Amino acid sequence: MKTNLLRPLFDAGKLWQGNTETTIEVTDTGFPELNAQLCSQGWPAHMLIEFLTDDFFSAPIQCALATWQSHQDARWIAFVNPPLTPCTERLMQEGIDTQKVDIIHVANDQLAWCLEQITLAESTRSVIAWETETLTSTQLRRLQLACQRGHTQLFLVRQPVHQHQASPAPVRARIDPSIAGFEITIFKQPGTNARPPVVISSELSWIRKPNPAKRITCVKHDSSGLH
Amino acid sequence: MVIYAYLKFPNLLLDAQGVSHHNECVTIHQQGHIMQCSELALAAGVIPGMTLSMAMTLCPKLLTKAYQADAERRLLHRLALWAYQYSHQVAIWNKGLCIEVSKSKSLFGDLTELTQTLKNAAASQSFQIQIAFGYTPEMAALFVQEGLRPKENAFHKTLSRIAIDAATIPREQIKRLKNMGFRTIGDYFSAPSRARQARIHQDTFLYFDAIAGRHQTPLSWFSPPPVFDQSIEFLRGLESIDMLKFPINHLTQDAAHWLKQRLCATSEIRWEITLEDRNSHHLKISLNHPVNSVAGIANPSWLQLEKFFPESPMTSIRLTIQQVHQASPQKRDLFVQIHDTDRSQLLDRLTARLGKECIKTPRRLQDPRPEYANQLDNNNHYTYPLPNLPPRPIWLLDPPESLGSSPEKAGHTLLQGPERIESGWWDFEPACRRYWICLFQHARISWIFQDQHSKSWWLAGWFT
Repeated sequence: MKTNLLRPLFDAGKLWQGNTETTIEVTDTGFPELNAQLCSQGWPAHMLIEFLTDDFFSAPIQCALATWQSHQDARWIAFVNPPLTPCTERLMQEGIDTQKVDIIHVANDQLAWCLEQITLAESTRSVIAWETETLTSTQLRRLQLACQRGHTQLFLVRQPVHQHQASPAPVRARIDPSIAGFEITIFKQPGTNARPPVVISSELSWIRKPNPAKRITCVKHDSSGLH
Repeated sequence: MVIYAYLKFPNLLLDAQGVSHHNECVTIHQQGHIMQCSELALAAGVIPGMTLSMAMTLCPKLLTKAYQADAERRLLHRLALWAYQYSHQVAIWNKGLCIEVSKSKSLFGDLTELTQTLKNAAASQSFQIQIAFGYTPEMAALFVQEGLRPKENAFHKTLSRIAIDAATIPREQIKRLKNMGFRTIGDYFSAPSRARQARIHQDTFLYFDAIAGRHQTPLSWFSPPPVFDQSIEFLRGLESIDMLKFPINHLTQDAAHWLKQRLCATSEIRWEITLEDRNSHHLKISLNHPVNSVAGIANPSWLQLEKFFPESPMTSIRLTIQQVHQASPQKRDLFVQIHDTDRSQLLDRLTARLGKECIKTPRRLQDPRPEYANQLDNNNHYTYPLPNLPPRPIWLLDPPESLGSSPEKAGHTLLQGPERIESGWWDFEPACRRYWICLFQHARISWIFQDQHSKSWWLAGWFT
């Protein structure tokens, strides 16, 4: 009886049990080994996803770019308070339509409001935001609800100090740098328990062992790069 | 036959002053006499027609406001604009509204349903209305005056029963008609027309013909003004910006109605707040996309007004819309939902609160120098297609960071390169550089270049 009453919430992906498969909509992470760690084989498409890391520059944006590459539609993506200026040519190289990208810089006290507005908008597909001032549990809860209402995915990059604090974010992952790339530990996600860490090879290994096709391009450019 | 509705607003004068009269003893007076008073004032014994000094004696807490014909005219125009959504023929007549409703019946149902629709709509606007129908405006007005609302097939029957005293003609004319033996309007019409015409004043004769639907008074029909300009005045100065929520909501609702009636949208709205010290605060809001919805106008307005701290109490607020664009109907796809409206409203909200500079879009210019090729812009300009370039870093440093004369000393080990860029000779900022991909402290991948003129090294960006 109770299960039947709760069925619509289960079906809508708003409620889940700790040890059962969920029916939430997901987006491919772009890394098969990372997909295997996630319950529904991808990042939840309409949820708040916390990245807890010291590495504000590298791993979170690589995760976001890989996700955006694998799943594109007519909606916008946004960078909120990025630590440096994103390179337009790199975004284009990643196959992202730069006309549908917003780069937003906001004051610390406006961050929560701004993120809520962006995630509430159905025109936004995915957002990556760098937390410049600690968001409260209430603010995080509002952001999670806004993600569900606006069908938006929000990657929130936070300091690792928040790992041992409770958070309403349904997905929480710790990212640590490693020799091959970065190590990601998903310690909270809907529908399953914490998973062991997985290492994602980063661009570092690509440059040490270049793809033959790309190697040719580089050599070719060395001689023809004069403009 | 043509049917008219006559709408009377019992609190017209109080509403015209923007007075919150539901919880206060308020009166509107002219030349020392009370014209209209609130329900609480009525309960205290104040009645229209009473002298002001008598009213003050009966109710010492009475708030008084002098009658302003201009405010009454403005409110009637506002109400006509509101009523315009129910009929294309609306006239301001006899301190009320006259609406031709025979064609509206097919859209809003019969007269009973139309009455309910108008009453509900007026209640949502916080206005009280009295409504009745008739074959002429005069007939409808007489029914309103008598508190009657007969059905269409009973107009004449009901009219014939009304006492002759109810006619809005000079008292001496009523007395004359009574002396002729007419007690009801029905008695009047039972006499031969030629006999009546010979014995009574022509205006009275025409008036009775009009209330019987035999004579049509020419009406000047209302048309929405080409520019939206409405204001609300406050009886007491408002000290907090939060108190403006209600008036702003009213004005934006009217503006949205006006835009929709004209099939238009606007991308520029102007607010003017007048303070008690006679200073005015002007606020111009430019929207990213033309809007004609209440939320589209109200949200960015409110986000901007929130930042305003009045130095003295606010006495009035005014909304003006001059620039309008033809609104094209929203295209709907059966399978794909386009989120253009949602997007433009988001941009309006963000720019209203955070400023235009907060949102930028990346775009690529056709320049080999990375600092010129990679731009962040407020306006969504054209982006040049990407040529076949070597990998670019995720992050760019603006401006590049100096590494001195040796990258190794700064911790950067050369991995891949060089990519030569020699450009900018035409704009006197020549660049002759060799770019390298480097390993920084065995952990991160950097993008550095050597300036070929100065031989100095610079950090341009980060891959990881």
